[in-house]
Amino acid sequence: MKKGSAMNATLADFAFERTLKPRQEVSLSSFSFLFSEIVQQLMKSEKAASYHAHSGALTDPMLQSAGSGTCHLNNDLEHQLYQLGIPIGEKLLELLFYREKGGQGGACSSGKRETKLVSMLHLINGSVFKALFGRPADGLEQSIEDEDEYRILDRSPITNKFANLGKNSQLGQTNCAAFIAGLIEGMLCSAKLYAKVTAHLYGDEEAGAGGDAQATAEGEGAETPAGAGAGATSTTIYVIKFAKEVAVRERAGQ
Amino acid sequence: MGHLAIFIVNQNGSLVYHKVITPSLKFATNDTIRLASTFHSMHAISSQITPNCQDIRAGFGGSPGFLAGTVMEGINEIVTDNFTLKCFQSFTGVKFILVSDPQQKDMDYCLKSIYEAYADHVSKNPFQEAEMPIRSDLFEGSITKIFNL
Repeated sequence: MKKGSAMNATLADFAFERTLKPRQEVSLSSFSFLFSEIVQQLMKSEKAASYHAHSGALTDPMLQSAGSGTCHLNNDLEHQLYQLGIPIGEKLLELLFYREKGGQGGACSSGKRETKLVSMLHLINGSVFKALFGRPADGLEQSIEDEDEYRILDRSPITNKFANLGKNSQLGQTNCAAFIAGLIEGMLCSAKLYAKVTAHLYGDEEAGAGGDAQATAEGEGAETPAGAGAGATSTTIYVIKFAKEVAVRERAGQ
Repeated sequence: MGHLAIFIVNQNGSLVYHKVITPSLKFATNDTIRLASTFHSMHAISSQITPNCQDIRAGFGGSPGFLAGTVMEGINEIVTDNFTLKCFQSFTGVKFILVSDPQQKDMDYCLKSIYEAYADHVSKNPFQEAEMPIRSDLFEGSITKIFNL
């Protein structure tokens, strides 16, 4: 938007300014309160559902996804957060591209849409995380055992900043970063790179020790300034498992 | 010497958090609950018997903006030869009570820090149920940091 056009700005210009210009930063507190309320609402509805029907219909999607072997979720709450994230991710990717067209220093420097798997992952790892959280993610790597699987390391997910269950809780380990996992999945799927993204708390991870050990080695070198005590428990790995057809297409394209 | 103990009492007068800072001080769990609810009732009574108390808070913890201009109600401070008790009530009725040595100077600052920690790690914690005991490790950690335990 040039300064001259501000004088006779149309409604369309106004709408463009309002929605497509990169926003100012949102207060962390506002986000945290809103997110906290979302989680509590989900927990309440979950409780109500399990009260009304013990074998509840609500648990079905979780069982299905667990059965497919691509996703293991600790509980229903994580699944619901993940479901919430997906539509946001789908819209977010589109929005970031449109903002880029506005030329306001948006998500991707070139302004083109990413179609390649690796460049898309780099975009998420760098620019998208920057646009969302003000900093890039803490690492992107390919899994050693499975080349269709990638991992993004996030040392302090914004959703886990204040979330803490305390010592003796019945909920066990719940990771609110499932929401961000859903967001990433939404973004990838809207770019037709179908994938299943799951959030795992770092530390209680036994499987895939090779890749994880590598991640810690890198991390200790970097030494984040954020509180060490808080970071240690909330470090999250987003495991991105691409669908077979995506992998096949990717290899054919090379 | 220094600070002795912290209590956080919720709107209904039940104890949601307590921490003994001086290790030599021993409290049975039942005692802390009883003390907290007794203080809560005394606080309520004292605000009833001084209904015309219109003292306006000048500032809190050295920052003039924070809570300045609000009416002080109930018990704000108890000073004895052996200890000083300061109570700070938030807008939602949560009481933060800090008991310290009479010589201690930084009580206001500590109360403000506790309030900040509460706002961060209790209010914004999705897993914290309203008016239930505080079990967050992050909150525990920041309290430890405030008092250098």
